[in-house]
Amino acid sequence: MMDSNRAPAGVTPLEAKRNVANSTNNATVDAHYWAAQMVAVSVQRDRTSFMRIYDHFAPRLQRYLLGLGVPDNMAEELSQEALLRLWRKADLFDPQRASLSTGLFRMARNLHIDHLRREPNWLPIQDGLDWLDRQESDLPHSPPESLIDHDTLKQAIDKLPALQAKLVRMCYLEARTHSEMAHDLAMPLGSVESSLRRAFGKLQVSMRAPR
Amino acid sequence: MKPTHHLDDATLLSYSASALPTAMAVVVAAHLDRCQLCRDHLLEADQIGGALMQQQRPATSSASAREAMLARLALEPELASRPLQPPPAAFDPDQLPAPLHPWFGNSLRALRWQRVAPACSVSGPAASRAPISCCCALHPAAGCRCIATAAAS
Repeated sequence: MMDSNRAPAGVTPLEAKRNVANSTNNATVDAHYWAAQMVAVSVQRDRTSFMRIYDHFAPRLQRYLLGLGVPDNMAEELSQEALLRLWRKADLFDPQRASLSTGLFRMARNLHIDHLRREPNWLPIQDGLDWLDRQESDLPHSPPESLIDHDTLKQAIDKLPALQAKLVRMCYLEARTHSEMAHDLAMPLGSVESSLRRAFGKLQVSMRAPR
Repeated sequence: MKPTHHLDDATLLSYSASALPTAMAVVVAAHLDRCQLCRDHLLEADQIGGALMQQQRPATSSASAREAMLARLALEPELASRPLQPPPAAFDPDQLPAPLHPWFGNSLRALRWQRVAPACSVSGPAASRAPISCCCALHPAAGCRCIATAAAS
């Protein structure tokens, strides 16, 4: 890959705030671009558009899964599976409700959880939630996500205080629990949790800001 | 029935990141099953995950991965038209949230309670060795009747 020598393989670039692919410096255009590809997939069942989505997102999903500790071949398998679900459920995709990257993140995360919990008792929770998400929200404010705000969100993540950014990344990119983070960073558990709360609050403000 | 207290933001964030221990994740899932407000917040948290995922350095796929994807795509049947969404069933106060079914069965009434303290009763799961504790969305009346595995069960 073009920038694979920026960091040693297998190391999650926790500190790297700018590891955005070169071509995607305009996330707003980007989100519209991907939404348009998605319309072609769901309406025309266009495989070329689908493979554009695959080429961009599958390697990133794979990196995300590798960061969570999923073995190499399984990370590739799960990211393909996430894309395949996207193809199957394309007609349910609503760009006003969730961006493509959010939808794919959800699918990969759920597949990962299902894979982890290969226990007879584990009920895959998310299929139910996928459906519930399509119900009308009770909230007076507009749906939390629309096409425009990915840009603002990315900027807001970059603007978080260093500790909050680090905790959010450890949480999402390494699936560290609150107590593991407290241990790793020699912080009281309560401080880890309150920092995460503050970080989420700031990011929510950026997502809900009038556009 | 709507929950009157909600998930802590730090908990919700970690659920979104799949970084909660199993027992806690089940509790959260059970709450989400009943709570639109927290589902909306989960979508916001997932948006953070989506943004971070998209910023990831692309991983190198195996040489055959792309062809494998195309091959799987070729095997996919045409998209059948989807049946209209069924209206939500009438709320049944006896029905436990779906994420609890594997551990507790689906009936609140059928749970066997054990008093552990004046304000707290516990119930062990029907068929699980996995420890789980739960008190979300399930308080049937005034007073806490937390559902949990007795440590000994």
